[in-house]
Amino acid sequence: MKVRFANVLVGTVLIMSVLSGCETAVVKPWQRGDLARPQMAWQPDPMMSVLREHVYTAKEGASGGVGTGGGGCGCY
Amino acid sequence: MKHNNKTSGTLAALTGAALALPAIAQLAQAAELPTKSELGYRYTDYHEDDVDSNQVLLGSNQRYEIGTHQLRLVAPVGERFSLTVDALYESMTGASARAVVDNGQGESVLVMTGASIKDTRTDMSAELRHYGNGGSEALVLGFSREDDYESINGSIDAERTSVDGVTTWSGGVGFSHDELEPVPEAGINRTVAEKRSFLNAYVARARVHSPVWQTQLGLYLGWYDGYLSDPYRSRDIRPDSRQQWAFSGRSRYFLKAVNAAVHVDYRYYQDDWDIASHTLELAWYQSFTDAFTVSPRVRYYSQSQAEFYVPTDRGTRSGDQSSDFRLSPYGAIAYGLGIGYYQPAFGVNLYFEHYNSDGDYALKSVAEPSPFLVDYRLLTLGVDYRF
Repeated sequence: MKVRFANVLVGTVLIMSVLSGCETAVVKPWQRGDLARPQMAWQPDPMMSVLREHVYTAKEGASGGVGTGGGGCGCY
Repeated sequence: MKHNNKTSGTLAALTGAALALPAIAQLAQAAELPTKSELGYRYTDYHEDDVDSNQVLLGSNQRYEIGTHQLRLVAPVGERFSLTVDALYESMTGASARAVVDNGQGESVLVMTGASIKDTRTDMSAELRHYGNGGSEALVLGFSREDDYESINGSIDAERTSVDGVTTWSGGVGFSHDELEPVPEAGINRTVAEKRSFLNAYVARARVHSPVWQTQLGLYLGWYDGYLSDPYRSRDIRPDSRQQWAFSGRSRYFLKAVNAAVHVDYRYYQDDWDIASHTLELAWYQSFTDAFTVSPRVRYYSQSQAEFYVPTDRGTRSGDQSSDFRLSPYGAIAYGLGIGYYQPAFGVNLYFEHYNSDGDYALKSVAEPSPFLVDYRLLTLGVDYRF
């Protein structure tokens, strides 16, 4: 089965558009103290995330996500 | 991290967050110029479980053991730039599968290498990031080198936050050029040198929904071109291109009542090798004080097989084919536990993970799982220093 990138792209844009319409009220800057906590980061420990993603990429058929990958094999 | 000084309450919250900040932490929403230099080190011991000796026809049943050193330096450069340098060195020993064959009784068994494989990998990268009004842009260059593999890579990315600070768009493009020179072995006809290239891109949108909830949606595309087979397997013939895409969603929700953050990450992946996968990861970051955090996590993964995956190798078969377990249908469950202690000037952390893969864990039933599916455990010790 071939991936149809145009369809995927259109689908993703539609999903994002729908979710954009479900937004809540604007959160003021002074309300974001809890959001700024380190444990709320997308990756609280980027070094650990890099290592784990490298292992998963080496051991699984799927890879990729948010961010651009580096290079190298490390295909143990 | 988004800083603001509007109210004393907010300042207190942010100060508490800053005190607990790991020295090498990714920022919650948009990148912000670091005010101090930060140095982080991680050592990871990775150990794969041995293969069941009843499933090994020839060779060693010992799989890989790897020791990995990571070093990261983040430093402000002037008033509008930061420099991040990552270095990684790892050494590995163990055996890998050369073929999967039928033992004559209808069972798939492995032909393994001896336990003599030893390799090292060095990986370096540097990121220069510029910070402007409402966003940042970065250039990353890097290389990776093994005994039989060299890669140069680079990427550019940018992000912009809306005027109200609620929405952050980010995107980037990356590339790598890899050259492979398999280690020759007497009596084995193996390719001498091959090349491949990789181009990838992503776009993501992060959104603050409430004072305690934010999400991110992302789309990822990847294109491989060149030699994509495994030269060390006895018969491994793969297409010379691969197109990938992935849709991901992430949620971060803070539970004020118990001082904990709940992470939910999901990714759907598909490629034109016919592999489709689901990945769901849940994590709970429990803060007992501003300095002490415990974070258990569980990750579930399931994939379908590549269209050219074959359970056993046969020399008489023509066309694309591979018995690599990474291309087989299976599922995996990983459990992890992290413990961190952070002070303004330093931090220490410990992380343990156990990964178990099995055909029975797949979302769809698997008739014959690969005998080489991996189970591993890893233990990481890290220290961070801010100066």
